[in-house]
Amino acid sequence: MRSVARSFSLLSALAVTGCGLAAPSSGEVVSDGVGTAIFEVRARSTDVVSVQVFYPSDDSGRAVGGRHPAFVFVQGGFVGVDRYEWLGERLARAGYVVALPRHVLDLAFFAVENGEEARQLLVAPPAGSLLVEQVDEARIAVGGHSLGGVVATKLALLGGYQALVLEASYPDSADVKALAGFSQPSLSLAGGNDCSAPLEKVQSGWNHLPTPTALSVMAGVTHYQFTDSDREDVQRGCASGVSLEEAHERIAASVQGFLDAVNADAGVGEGALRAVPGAEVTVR
Amino acid sequence: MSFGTRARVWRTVAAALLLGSGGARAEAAWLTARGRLLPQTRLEAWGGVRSVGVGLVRPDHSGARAGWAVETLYAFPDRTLELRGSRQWQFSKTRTATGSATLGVSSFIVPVNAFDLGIGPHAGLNLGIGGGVFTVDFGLQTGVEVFLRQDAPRFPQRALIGFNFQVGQVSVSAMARAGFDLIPGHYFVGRGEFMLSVGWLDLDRYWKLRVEEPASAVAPTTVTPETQTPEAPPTQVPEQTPQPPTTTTTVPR
Repeated sequence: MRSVARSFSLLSALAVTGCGLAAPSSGEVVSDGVGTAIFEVRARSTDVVSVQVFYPSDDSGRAVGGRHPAFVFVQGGFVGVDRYEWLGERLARAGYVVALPRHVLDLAFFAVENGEEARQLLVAPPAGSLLVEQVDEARIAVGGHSLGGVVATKLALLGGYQALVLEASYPDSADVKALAGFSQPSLSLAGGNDCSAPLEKVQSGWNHLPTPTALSVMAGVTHYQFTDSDREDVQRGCASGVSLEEAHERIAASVQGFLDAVNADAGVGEGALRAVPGAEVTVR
Repeated sequence: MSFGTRARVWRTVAAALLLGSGGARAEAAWLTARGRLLPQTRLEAWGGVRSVGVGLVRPDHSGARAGWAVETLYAFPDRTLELRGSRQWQFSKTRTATGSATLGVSSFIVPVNAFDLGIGPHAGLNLGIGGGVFTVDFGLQTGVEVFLRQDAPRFPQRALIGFNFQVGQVSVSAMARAGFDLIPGHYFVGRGEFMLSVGWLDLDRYWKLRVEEPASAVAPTTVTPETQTPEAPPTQVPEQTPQPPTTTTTVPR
């Protein structure tokens, strides 16, 4: 009986304390020069938030380089984080550390500050983890797709970010007043064939973003082509003017062009944005 | 309906539940979030999407309308321990619609990566509708939680619905709770949980409930001729007559 009690106590102790939060020292190689790993961070005292990170890596999944610029990206409503891996991978290959915080029910609106937890992870990573000294905390941008863009705007207003990227999104009307005091560069990317975030709304929302800011309308691109698949658009009969691969090329080139410019001279990368095929760019 | 569409419908329902619970309400105990306080001690274990736990609800004495409850749980996604104690008061005798109130304390232990402790009071209002076998319970809960490491207190607000079956000494329940944590200076956090539980109602066999003596037995009253009621005539108990032996019939299935 005593041994049963002792075993139970040991199992209980292991269950509670034996499962520390994930802070890997290396990750999985997803493509040449890009690794990914999932971290767990403690938020709001009791919650554990998972953050998927893409980073420049060597062949064994260890982070290479150091002091990279970073990008915190917030998922769209009911769209899993895994559907943005393509973007994380592309930006990591270009030298960025990309953090994708997860949210319960895939609804970032119910835990807005998970994105802030992801930023804190980049700024102050756990000792011994692969992120140590990998991120330049003065060059962290935030962005999001659709509902994630609404949340990204709220995160940008909390401070600590050097730029804001909205993909098929627009700011919450409740944040319009606060945005007047926002001084960082921003980019609004719109799909010309978006059936979920109408172009008029995206353009109207962009009007609330202070200078310097750029609006790039990409011809033919639909709402879900910002993710890894446009099947929802197809199911809804929302016709795309470009292939998914082409849309990804244009989206990634636009985001990277903007972020490179922000990190170089705090501009919006007008030249790089205009160089994207099918992009109609407005800058102010 | 495709799997993806079905999943989205369910998540939309869950989200709507979360959205629809924005009023002032709380994360209190699971086991006392019921309109009825059962007349016997109830031992219950549950497994939910965010926690597993076990607890006990015990009336003050046999037939009491107030009782105590304790429950302990392990929130496995967050790796935290929680201990809750609460007092439940049933407003009236048990009837088709029975209300109750709860008041208690929750405490938290966050043992891994940034050790933390939390504590706070909680309160709830419950309404149970149904009979002896099946009840539907609705609850509103509110509370305050403070943590050593958090700069602001947390105000959990919850709405709850539960479906409870009782067959003999066993009960089975399905409960869902959704709402928000309001945190001053921060954005709110949406919360939701679903759990299934099994209860055992025969614990009093081993841990007897105190039997409250009726007041009339303790304080003898003087019976006056005016108040004296005629005694009912003694009832005749018929003598048992031998029953014919029952025959077993085979019913074709």
